[in-house]
Amino acid sequence: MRILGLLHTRCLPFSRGHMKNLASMVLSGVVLLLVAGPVVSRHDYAAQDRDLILSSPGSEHWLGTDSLGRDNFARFVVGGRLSVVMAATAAGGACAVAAFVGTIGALGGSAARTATAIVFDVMLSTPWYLLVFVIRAVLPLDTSAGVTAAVTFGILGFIGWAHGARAIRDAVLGMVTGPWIRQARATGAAGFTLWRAHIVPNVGPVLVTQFLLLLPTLMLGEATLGMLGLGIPEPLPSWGGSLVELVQTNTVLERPWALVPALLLAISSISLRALAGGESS
Amino acid sequence: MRLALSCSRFFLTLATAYVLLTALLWYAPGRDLDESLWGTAQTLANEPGARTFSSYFEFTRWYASELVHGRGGTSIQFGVPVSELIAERASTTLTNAWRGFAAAWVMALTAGVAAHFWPGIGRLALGAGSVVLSLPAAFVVVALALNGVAPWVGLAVCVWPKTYAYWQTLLQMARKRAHVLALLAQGAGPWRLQWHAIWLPNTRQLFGLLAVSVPLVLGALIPVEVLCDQHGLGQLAWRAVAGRDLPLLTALTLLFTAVTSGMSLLAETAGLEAK
Repeated sequence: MRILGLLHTRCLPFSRGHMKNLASMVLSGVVLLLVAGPVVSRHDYAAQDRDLILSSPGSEHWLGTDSLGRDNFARFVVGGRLSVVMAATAAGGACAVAAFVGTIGALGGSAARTATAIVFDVMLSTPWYLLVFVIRAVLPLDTSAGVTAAVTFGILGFIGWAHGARAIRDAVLGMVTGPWIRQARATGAAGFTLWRAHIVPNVGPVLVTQFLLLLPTLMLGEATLGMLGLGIPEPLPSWGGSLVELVQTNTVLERPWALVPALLLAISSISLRALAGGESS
Repeated sequence: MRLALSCSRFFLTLATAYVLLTALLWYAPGRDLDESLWGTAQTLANEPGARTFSSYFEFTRWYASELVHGRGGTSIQFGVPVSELIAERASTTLTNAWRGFAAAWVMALTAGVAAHFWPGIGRLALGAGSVVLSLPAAFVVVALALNGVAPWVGLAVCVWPKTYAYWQTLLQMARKRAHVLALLAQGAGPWRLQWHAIWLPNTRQLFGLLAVSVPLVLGALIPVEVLCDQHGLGQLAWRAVAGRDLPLLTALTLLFTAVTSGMSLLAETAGLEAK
């Protein structure tokens, strides 16, 4: 978001509001594609057509087929749904934990502040790829694809909460010393009432921004793990898993439609970060 | 006092990582099986299956002494001491990391300085940076590797947008300071302004930024080494997952955690908010 913020302030001739609207429209298009895709597609994502392996786009298979004769369009759309839904769930969970820990860190006195600062440091110093590797390595070999996918996103969400918690702690600390909180205190508000009526409504936008920033991070993290063969496992589709084909030398030249998941990821990621930028302003 | 607190955080991070990893090893599936193929705490011993531990605490004590003596157990997959494997592959990783790190910094600093004189270059750099950051790191690495680009360049391309963004934020903050505005009002030239008013007073933060970018390089190193078939520590970690080689994976995770935490400590000492 830092780089998008810089990009906006330096080069774009329109306001943050316009950028937010544009990002919303693009995201709506992606969501519509992911929701309506399986309805309009005539193929199941797992169905194999052994006579049509690695076929080109046509009226039967809109984006061709993969090396097992499965419809690429159906796999991209279902994979996208899976990536987005699981990333959103993990990001939501991470933001809930971030809100809880961040608020405690800000309002819980000096001991709580030191303790949460230490926890943030420990979390942020963890090399997350290796943590995912370790947990994937200890999973039993007969773990189902669904559970493995949930565990992968769970770990990514677990790693992601610390950034948000620190932002929320700083935001709440700023609010506590703000004029309207002082005024509320002067009028007798304290404890839970003060928290519910004056802090929670103002933490909302920070939380939304953190969610919008974390969502693309988790999607991109899963995609990278997928390209390393450690993302959502087969037979479940995912954007990261679909990109594995690109590792072969001639794929891009011979079948450029294999780039569609990367394009959708980039569009979604840029739009979500632009929305986060608009939200934070 | 602040340094002492930072040092205690560093050791606490390592201790937490150690406790979590050894707990994972101890409770990993297959712990009770008498087979060296499974990732069990028992197979961490130099002679797999030869040593038994009655409790988790006994195991952690033994593993800590192994680490202190520079051994770290035996790799299940390769059947050699973990320390030997790490020593063998460290040079490839260090070479890649060093070149990628240096290239990322050269790109970020060049773009930063050029943007000061020609804003168009700044726009181009920001646009390219946001595109790179919106793609999976592995995708960027593959795209470059398929075009015959060296692995360390892929590493640099993955890292430089964040380095550039940090650097630009630092410069923007510096440009708003009173002494810079005063020099501007006096009609100081752009080079003088860059060097004396912006760079020199920010040397400490610049060192902090250098420290912050090391974990970024380490993060991008794994996809680079795996996808470009570089026999370094990143690829070793990936192979350890495939072979469920927990002793090797534990040692590598502890090593990477120590480096990341150490760099955060350095950045903090330099007065920079590390992450």
